[in-house]
Amino acid sequence: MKTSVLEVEDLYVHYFTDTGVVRAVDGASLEVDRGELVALVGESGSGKTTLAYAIMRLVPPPGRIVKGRIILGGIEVLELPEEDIRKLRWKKVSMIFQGAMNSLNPVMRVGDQIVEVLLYHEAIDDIEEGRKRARELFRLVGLDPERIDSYPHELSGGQKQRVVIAMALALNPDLVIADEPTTGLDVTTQAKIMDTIREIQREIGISVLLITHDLPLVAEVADRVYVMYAGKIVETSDVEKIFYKPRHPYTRGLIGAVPSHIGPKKKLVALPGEPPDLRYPPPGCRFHPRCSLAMPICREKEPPLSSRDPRDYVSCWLYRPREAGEND
Amino acid sequence: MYRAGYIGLERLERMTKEEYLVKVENLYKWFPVRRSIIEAIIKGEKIYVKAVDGISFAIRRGEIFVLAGESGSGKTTTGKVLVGLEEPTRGRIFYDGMDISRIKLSDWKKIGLRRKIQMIFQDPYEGLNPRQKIVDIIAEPLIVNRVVSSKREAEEKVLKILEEVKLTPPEEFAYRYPHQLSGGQRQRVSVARAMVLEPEFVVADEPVSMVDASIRASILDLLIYFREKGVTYLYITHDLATARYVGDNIAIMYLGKIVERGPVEKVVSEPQHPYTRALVSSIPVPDPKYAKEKKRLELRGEIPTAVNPPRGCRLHPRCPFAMDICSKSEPPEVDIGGGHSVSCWLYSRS
Repeated sequence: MKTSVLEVEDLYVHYFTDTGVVRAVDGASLEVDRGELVALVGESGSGKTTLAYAIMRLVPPPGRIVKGRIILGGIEVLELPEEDIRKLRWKKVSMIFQGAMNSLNPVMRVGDQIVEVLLYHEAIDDIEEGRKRARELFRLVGLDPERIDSYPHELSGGQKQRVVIAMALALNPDLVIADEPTTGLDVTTQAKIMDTIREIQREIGISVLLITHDLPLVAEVADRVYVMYAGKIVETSDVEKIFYKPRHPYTRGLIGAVPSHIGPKKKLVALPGEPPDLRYPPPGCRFHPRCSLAMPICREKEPPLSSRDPRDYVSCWLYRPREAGEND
Repeated sequence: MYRAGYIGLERLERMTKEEYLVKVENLYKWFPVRRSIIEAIIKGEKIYVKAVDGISFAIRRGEIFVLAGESGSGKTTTGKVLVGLEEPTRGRIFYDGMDISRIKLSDWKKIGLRRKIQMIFQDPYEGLNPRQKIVDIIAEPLIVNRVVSSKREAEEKVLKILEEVKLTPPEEFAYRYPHQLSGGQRQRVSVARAMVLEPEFVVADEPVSMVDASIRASILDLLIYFREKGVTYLYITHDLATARYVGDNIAIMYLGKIVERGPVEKVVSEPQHPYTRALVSSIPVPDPKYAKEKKRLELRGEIPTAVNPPRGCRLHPRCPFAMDICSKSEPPEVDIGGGHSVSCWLYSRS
């Protein structure tokens, strides 16, 4: 039997702003197994980053986790006091934040920044042991171990991103959440960084939750995929099914809108309209205003999941024809 | 539809204005590196970032010409020189038969170049003044260039162009502020602002890289729509998949030089230069099975700075095929047929 390192169940995270409640995550569930690379793919404003922050219990105010469960290696994250959460971060789950390579401390040697994390979590007895560990981590992520004495400005973008990955791995977490880990890097560098993440993941059996907007990247690295739209997961299955047999009209639309540099040149079809304002999400299925296949029921009732399998479902009335018809 | 990308400098020099709209011959753009006085005295000669270091190309009328490369390749600097945001250090630029490289940037408006040549920028979030309504943002170039004689005329033109970029109903969008629009809608406003002057030539610098995937195609289609109305483009990008979607001919840049060029379809499907091969094989493919099987050509390290570019072929320190000659002398551009050319010693007999 597979063991999951992360289970998110029916999670709601809302931002209580002056202009209304932004329903950023509005009933999302997902699972990540040991040794898996799972992608959470969505466009800007889909709620994917908020979901990641919720797993880390780092949702910034005015955001709040309204309800749901998050189970991390058997621990109920939402029931823990703040003190214990802090211990959980880095050790059980760590996060590579978007743009993290630009938030390395510019006046501190990169190795020392890793030693600092190790010291804070009492993972080492002295600095020399920390430096040794930092060198090992550098080797693991494909950096010259001697680079631990460099300052961030002496490193290239790709090298800095490797430092950030090393830091995320410092305390041997079970799960690494990587939020757009290669955005802003050149394609050739991006490819190498993703290779490194993939290799490490296989080598040390770590799980990765990759948060991204980049569909081709997902095709290249993910085992399984969750597609998020307007605060909800609309479809999930293994990567090949997502790309070769997409079911949800949003997933299909997204795949049809992305150009490829190989294969026959196809006409791209953009999805009409724009994602909704999450203060006023449309009733029924949130995708219906942009959906060319929308039926009357889609405007009224939220579609149920097509199956009980949390790893393979679609949330769309097209896959519940009987119920959809009854309400017609 | 369009002929060869490869022309060769000799042939390029003989090209007439009937054949091209924009022609660039041996263009250089060097930026001096600021140093302290003491440093300058001790070290002597000035140091430059050689952002663009001797490139030539021609853009035919009605064509979408792609300039592709990674950060530091010089593609954006080239675009800025062509729209008159930077003066060239050396080289000649012909626009519609006229050598504009000798014309002072301050005189561009006088001879109408500011109206004929426009640019679309990458970032739809930063490019628009947040305190201005959409109607004023788009009307501004009309007023600055004295294309309209009254406010009413300007407004009419704005509403018409909003309709064309599919921000409809235009009356509704015209009186909004940028923050009330989505990223995709803002990029449509950027396109409208460039197109309202009915330019002949538009430099589009990564126009969709910050736009969500589901609406990216609609922005690209908008560029194609204006091409059909007669606009010629220089499309600057790092993304060869969108380049293939919109482009006719492409030039691949690396460290200030063009390393390969030709029809987009050929260059992207049969890349020859080791750099182009590395670039193409690094692009993720939205096809999991293909992705698993694909072989990548890897280059060592990362792109060096353009302050002291490597001698000979600029790629040689990173190239897995580098030979003796590659570090000694610069490879000539070799025509490999079908309008496709490559600057690499692997392709020249010497």
